[in-house]
Amino acid sequence: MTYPWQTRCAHLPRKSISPLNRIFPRLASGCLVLVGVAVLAGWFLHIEALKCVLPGARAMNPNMAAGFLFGGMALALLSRKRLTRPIRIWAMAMAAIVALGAGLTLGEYLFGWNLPFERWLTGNAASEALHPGRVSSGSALFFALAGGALMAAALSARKRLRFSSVLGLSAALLFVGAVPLIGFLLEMLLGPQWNFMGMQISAVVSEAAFALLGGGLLALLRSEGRLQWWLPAWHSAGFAFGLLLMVISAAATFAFTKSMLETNTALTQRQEVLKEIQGIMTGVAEVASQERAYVIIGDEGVLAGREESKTAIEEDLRAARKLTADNPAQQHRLTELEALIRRRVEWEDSVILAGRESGLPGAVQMIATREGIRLSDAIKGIAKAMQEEEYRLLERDRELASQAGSTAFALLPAGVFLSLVTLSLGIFSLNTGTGRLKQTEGELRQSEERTRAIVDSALDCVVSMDHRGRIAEFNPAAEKTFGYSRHEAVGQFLADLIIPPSLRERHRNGLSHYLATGEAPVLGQRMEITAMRADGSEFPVELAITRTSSEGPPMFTGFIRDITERQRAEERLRDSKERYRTLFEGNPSPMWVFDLETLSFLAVNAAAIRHYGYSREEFLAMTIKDIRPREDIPALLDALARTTGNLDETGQWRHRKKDGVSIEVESSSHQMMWRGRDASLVLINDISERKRAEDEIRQLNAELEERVKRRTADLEAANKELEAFSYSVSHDLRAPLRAVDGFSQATLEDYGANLPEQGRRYLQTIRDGAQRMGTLIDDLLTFSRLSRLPLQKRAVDMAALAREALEELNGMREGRAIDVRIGDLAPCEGDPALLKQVWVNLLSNAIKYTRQRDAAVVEIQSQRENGENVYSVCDNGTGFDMQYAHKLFGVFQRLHRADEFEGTGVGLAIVQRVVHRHGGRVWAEAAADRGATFSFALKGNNNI
Amino acid sequence: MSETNTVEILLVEDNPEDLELTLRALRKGNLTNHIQVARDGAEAMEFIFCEGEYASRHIENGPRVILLDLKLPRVDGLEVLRRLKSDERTKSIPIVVLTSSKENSDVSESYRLGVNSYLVKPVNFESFVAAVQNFGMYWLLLNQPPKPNA
Repeated sequence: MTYPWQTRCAHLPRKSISPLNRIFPRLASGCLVLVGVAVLAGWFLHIEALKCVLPGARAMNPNMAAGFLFGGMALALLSRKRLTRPIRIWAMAMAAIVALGAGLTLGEYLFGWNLPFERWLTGNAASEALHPGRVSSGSALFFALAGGALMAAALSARKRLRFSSVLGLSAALLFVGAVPLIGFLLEMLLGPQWNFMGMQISAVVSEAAFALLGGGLLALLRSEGRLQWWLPAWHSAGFAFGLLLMVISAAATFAFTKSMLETNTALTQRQEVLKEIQGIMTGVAEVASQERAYVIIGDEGVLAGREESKTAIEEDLRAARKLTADNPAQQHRLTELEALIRRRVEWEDSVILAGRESGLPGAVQMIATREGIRLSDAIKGIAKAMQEEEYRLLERDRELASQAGSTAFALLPAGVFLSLVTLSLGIFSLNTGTGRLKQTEGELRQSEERTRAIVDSALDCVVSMDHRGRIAEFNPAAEKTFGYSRHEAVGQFLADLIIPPSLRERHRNGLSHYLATGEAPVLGQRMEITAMRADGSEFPVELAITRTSSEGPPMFTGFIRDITERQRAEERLRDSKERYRTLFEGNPSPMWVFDLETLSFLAVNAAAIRHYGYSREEFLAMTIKDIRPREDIPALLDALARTTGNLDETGQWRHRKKDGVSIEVESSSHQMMWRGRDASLVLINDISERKRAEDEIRQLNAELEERVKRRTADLEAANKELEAFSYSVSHDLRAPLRAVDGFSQATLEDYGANLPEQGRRYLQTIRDGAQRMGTLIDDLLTFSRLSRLPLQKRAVDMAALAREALEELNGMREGRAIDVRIGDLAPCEGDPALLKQVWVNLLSNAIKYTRQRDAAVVEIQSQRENGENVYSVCDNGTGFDMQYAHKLFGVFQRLHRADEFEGTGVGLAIVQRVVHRHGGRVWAEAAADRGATFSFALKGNNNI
Repeated sequence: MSETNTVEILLVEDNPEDLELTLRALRKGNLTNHIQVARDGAEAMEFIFCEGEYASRHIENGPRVILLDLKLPRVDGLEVLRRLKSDERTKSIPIVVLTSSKENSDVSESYRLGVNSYLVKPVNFESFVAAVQNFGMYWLLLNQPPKPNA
């Protein structure tokens, strides 16, 4: 079952708390304090009007006034906006005084104590009352309720039973105070029979005070947001109607029952009146019979009980007068009756006196006047009238009683039935409502689950905080961001956990400012502030705070996003923008961006402005067509049409500066988006100067080439001639020599016998000359060929080559003891055929010039010097005189006579020619008769 | 010479001195049988292909070896060499180039065209005789030519 006064139902539509909720308790407490102070002042200053408060009421008990004063002050304290601990303690103390007084008073009633405290205020004032200071038991009970309610209200809001205690006690207080007041009001409006509680004016003030106290406390609960009435209006009306019916039927029943009881009392009274009248008549008859007896008997003895009878009559009369006090007619009759009875008794007394003085006859004479009988008749008449009146009233009362009884008996079941029906309807309707409510609750739960799921899976941190600044909600994103688990975080002060120390004071001030004034500039705003992680590190966050409970103590939810990365990215972006701006604006080459569609300039840099002479504004008003000679525009449009789809382009263009000077430029362009438009970024390189230089170079090159061609042709022609020459030499010069030699030989063979010795020697000399000539021609041809043939360079194993050369010279070595030592020769790069010729020539020289040595030694080696391979052939032969060394390598140059060492003088020339053609050097070191060393150096090749 | 039947050696030489010396050398080496001399390339080819003056001759009758100078009037030696080595009937005839030229171009061109030997005439006559005797011995006595029509 859900109660209508649900304590806090966060998800129902909220009503804002009216400020009246706090104003009402304040007003109530003010009234209470006023009443208390007024009454006490009345007592101390002896002002009756103040004591009574309301005119016509009885003076209020000062203890009661004190109770109201304390209760009012406690309520006033409790209705302050901020309940600090001291305030609550003060309120609690005052409530405790009220409760203590009430409790002690109840104890007095229950256990018969007689405690002195009740007299502290009244003193020992004389009064007919037994305990003048003691408040009534009912009032004591009400004060006990009030004290309890106030004490409970003064408890801290967190105490579990506080709410229900305050609610129950103050509702009871309101009820007991208000219900009699309603009766009193009904009496004023409708008549005395409606005052079902028999409420009197003296009690009005106190009942009103109790009702105010109860109502004030309830309003206070409501102002705390703890008490809300959320039944629908129809249900509320139904319940109210049912309760009203119950109250009315109870009140009516009470009223009729009371009136029945009153009628019964009245009936009894009437019967007593009748009895008294009877008694009076009996008494009257008695005194009359005594008088008669005395007259007849004359004996004084019969008069003995006469005085007693008279007294009895008087007593009866008095009783009757009292009983009929409310009936003036009867009173009047009684007065008449009394007077008649007095006259009758006086007459009898005078008869008795006459009898005593003048004897019987005097008495008889007097009796004979019949005065006595007349008086007795009158008495009887009045008594009879009185009896008849009483009987009539008796009859009427009886009728009224039966009428009230039957009405009460009819009203009670009817009222009960009606209220039962109403309440049943109410409950039925409530049940239906509860069904809907349950459905709503289910939806609410679902909604809450959805909310929970959203909060749990939110990428942003969701952190809720209650009005005291404690964390109530801490979602997984927050756990991850701040490094606290939800378990650790919930219940902690937000300020201590995730706010950097420097900002905590601001946070607390903001919160208390909000709680005090309801102003919070941060609510609903998006802020960027600094937060703190569990490890103490601070980081920038984006924060939005919203209030998530509109009623009751405020709750705040913060949506927090770690923006470290974003800030970093923004910074990077800023940096990069700045960098790129500098790259563009500060670039020493002209740059611009133009729209690919309209071809207008979108941006130009400073270098472009400098270089072209247009201002930035002029540039931005032009298209790229405007800086070109008119005749180049079709080519430009053509190029642009072709480049579509190609991001990067380069090209050479002619541009025209503002002063009309045409320049040659090389442009590099890159397609890009510029503020949402297809654009091209262009970098310009003025190549006018370069072009000029290039043109010059090209011209020079062309000239040079032409010259080279001419020279080459000349050379080729010369080469051709040389070739033809050597071909002819080869063929034609040797043929005569062969003839010389051959026919000399033939002459010797055929006619040698006929010739004298001298003739044969001459012919032999002719042959030798011819043969030397042949060798000379061969050597010259070789030399010439070596100069002409192109080098065919490759890697050469020099040691192997030297060995091959040595093999070829085997013929020369025959019969000789020559120690040829070939060391480790470094390989080189060269034409192997030519290099072999080098080795052949050098080795043949060495062999030739060591001919005179018995132990000839020829040493071949190589070494590396300054990046060159130096090869040397060292012999221990004849050597030569170094002063002729410069002649060694000349063609046909010889340092020895032909009859000493044969030779043409071409071998070393060939060596030098070959080495020089390889880019090397050749030299010789020697001393006459002490051997020679021939060396040549070739560029070393490390790759071999 | 018209009645020549089988010719052992065809000597193609324009220089009369060289011719005489060569014949002398051949004679010294006893290789004088059936020597036919042509004084230029054109005559050499007329003889070999039995044309003109030699039309009555049969091609099957030799020669067995040809000594060919390179520097010849009318048709030079390299041309003769090329023609003979490209003709089915004559390409199996051994040809020895006998020349004064030591030029590399001549040597390599001759071998490219299929010469069988390349001999440089030395100035020294004794060496010349020795060389002629050596090649005559080889090509005429030791070498076994393919049999005609075999």
